[in-house]
Amino acid sequence: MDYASTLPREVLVKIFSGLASPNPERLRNLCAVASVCPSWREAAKESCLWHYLTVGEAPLNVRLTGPRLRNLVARSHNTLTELWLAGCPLVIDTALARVVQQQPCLVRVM
Amino acid sequence: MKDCARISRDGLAFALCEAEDFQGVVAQLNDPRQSASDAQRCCVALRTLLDAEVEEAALAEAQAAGTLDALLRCAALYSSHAGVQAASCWALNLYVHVAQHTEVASFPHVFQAAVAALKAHPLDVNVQRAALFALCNACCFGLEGTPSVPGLLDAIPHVLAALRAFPTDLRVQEFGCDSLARMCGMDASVAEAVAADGAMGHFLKALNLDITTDGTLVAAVNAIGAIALAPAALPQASAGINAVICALRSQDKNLFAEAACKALGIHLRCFATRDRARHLSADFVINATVAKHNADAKVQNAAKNALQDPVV
Repeated sequence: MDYASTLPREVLVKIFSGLASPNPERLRNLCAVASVCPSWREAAKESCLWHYLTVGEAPLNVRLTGPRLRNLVARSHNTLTELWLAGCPLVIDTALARVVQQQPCLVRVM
Repeated sequence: MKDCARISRDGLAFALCEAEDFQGVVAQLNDPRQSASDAQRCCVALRTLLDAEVEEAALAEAQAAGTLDALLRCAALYSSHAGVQAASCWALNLYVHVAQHTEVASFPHVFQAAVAALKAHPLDVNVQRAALFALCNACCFGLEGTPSVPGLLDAIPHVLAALRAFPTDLRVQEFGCDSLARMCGMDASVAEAVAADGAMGHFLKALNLDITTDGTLVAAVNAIGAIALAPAALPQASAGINAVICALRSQDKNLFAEAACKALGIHLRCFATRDRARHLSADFVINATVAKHNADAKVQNAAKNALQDPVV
């Protein structure tokens, strides 16, 4: 029996919040758990897991475009607090400007 | 935004507050008609502009525009707005960091602004992180001008409250332990007060967090070492030594090994804790660490100092 998928959403979110600790692998970890099963995917969409967005690890960063960045940021439901980008050659000024202008909680962009 | 060739800092600053240089952003920040959310954006923009590749040029421009005063004024004016507090603390952090080598680094006002932010928003994790980091940087780079002992003593309960309120937040734990360790290094009475307030328990918890990065562990070990000589910490010295030894056995990073050797060395070289440290085989563990990290000169040096005779 798949016990993990029977866990309540709140418990999964609490567990996944550990994956969302400040390290460069945070985004990869969240994407990985989101592709395990439908219940994990739903839990990984929780906005509180997306307050801090770190994109600095290949290959995610080199493939990141403006629309993809917008989609990732949209998961925070306008509660993005910190944005850290590194090695993202496809993201342009205007795309980033559009993203940050819609985030009232933003306190740091790196 | 490292290695993002198509993103410019002035472009991002313009997107945030429609000004693309320090003068423009500071003028907006000083405008009394500014709302709190606009002030928050200005602080984010200033941090973005300070985060330049050529730090000297950015600092010169920031100083000419009066960035530090504007940020401090903004932090004082919007003390009840968590977003402004967090954003201004992050900007102040970077200002202190950039200014460290280029001027007589003295940041008592940054220290006080960080303590005020800690006091005003004890349950907001973003403010606590930013303020603790600011506190840490102010202590690290501004030793000359840091507040007198009463100022440091005033900050201690708020840092400990943050460690208590966010026991699993790695950045709060790291910056909190680090700032306490640095404050303890300034005056023996601060170390005594930190130990008397029960900080050892928080340091041990931080040391036992299961994490992939070693920043929190190093900060916790440094903090244990910083209060080791305080009389109030003596009853818990064995617990501290034991925790450092256990962590040293499970961690193999050089930075942590160096910090652990230093902390164990403080206990080994103090007459009050030497017997307990030897009873727990601290000297044996240090020797084992030397053998394990034989290619790292810093670890070797820390171990050599740790095994010297006790300080009379």
